[in-house]
Amino acid sequence: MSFFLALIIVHLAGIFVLLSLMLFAEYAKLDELESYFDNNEKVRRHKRFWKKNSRIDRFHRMGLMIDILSMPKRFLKAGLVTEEELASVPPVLKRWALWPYRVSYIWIIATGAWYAWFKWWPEGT
Amino acid sequence: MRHAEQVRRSLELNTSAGAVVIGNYDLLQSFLAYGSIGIGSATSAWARHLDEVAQTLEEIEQVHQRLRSGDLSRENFIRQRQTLFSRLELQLQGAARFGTGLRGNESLRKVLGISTRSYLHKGEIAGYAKRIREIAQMSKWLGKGTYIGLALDVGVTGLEVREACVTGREAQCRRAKYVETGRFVGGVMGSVFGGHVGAKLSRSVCHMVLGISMKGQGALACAVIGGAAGGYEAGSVLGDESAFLGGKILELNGDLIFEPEGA
Repeated sequence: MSFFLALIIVHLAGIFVLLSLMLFAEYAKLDELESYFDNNEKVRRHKRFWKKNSRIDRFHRMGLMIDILSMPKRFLKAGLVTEEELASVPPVLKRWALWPYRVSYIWIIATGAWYAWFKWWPEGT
Repeated sequence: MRHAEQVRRSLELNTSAGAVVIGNYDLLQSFLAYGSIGIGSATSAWARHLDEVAQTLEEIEQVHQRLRSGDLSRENFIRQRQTLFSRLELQLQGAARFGTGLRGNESLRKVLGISTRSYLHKGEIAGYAKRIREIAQMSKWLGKGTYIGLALDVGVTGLEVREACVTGREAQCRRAKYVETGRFVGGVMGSVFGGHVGAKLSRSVCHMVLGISMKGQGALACAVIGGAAGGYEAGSVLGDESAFLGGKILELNGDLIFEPEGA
């Protein structure tokens, strides 16, 4: 098996795992995460807008949670969350929300690299 | 058949349009396949917006009902209705009216046909229930955008395999099944993955670089645009990647194996 083929298999398997982790967090961890922001007006309003329980609703609701946890200082400065609310979220839950995305950035770069290899050096494949 | 005949005739009459379609066939096809999930995301967001408009309209009707039944004093009625009208004004600013059927620059009371005296007399706001039903119906259809997108993906895959099986030999037809199935699976997986990461990245860029306020709905627009762009790009690239992988699969004596080295 060539290196190029092995790279594709690892790359696709990685994306499958990362996507599974993202979807798992959306379905299994979102409600618990939101429970720490029960009294937060921004979160409540967002939840009201995306009130159905479909995939797209959970995706956007999880999006706000990820934004709050990944840019806490900006949200604090805007007066949209309090330090108590942020401190109340357990680190394990934060990891579930943030780490699949952080690792995904590496995979996005790898996707770009694969595309360049595939398009510009096809004879090497 | 009649529709096919009509399409053929219109293409004959307008050959330049046909040439444009044929010339951009690949682009059109890739947009249908990988853009559809992003479109689904955007239409779902608009569907939720329309849900909110419909809910406000229902609340306005409830306030009228409470006034009629005597549960609400006239002063409270005016105050509550004013609050609901202000909310509706915000929800229907500019392009946000699209899909609600509420157009024109007149006051909302006039556009909606609301008259307290007429309501108290007849017990209903003329055409109001119909309007709410229409908005809810529009929202329901828009919410199905993702499924329509997925159905288009399946359709595009089927067309590719069919094309190979009609024009090619048996081996090409069999190969097309693996390649195109791989492209479909990789494309859908890539679209969803790219949609997630694209939405997250664009929200961060909007807040940090463009300085878009965290308080408004700007982040939603960023997420929808970023998600659609990320879904399209990742779907396209990962579709190619999976198609390449699918092309390496061979069927020998009923067993599926990877193409041997140097084959």
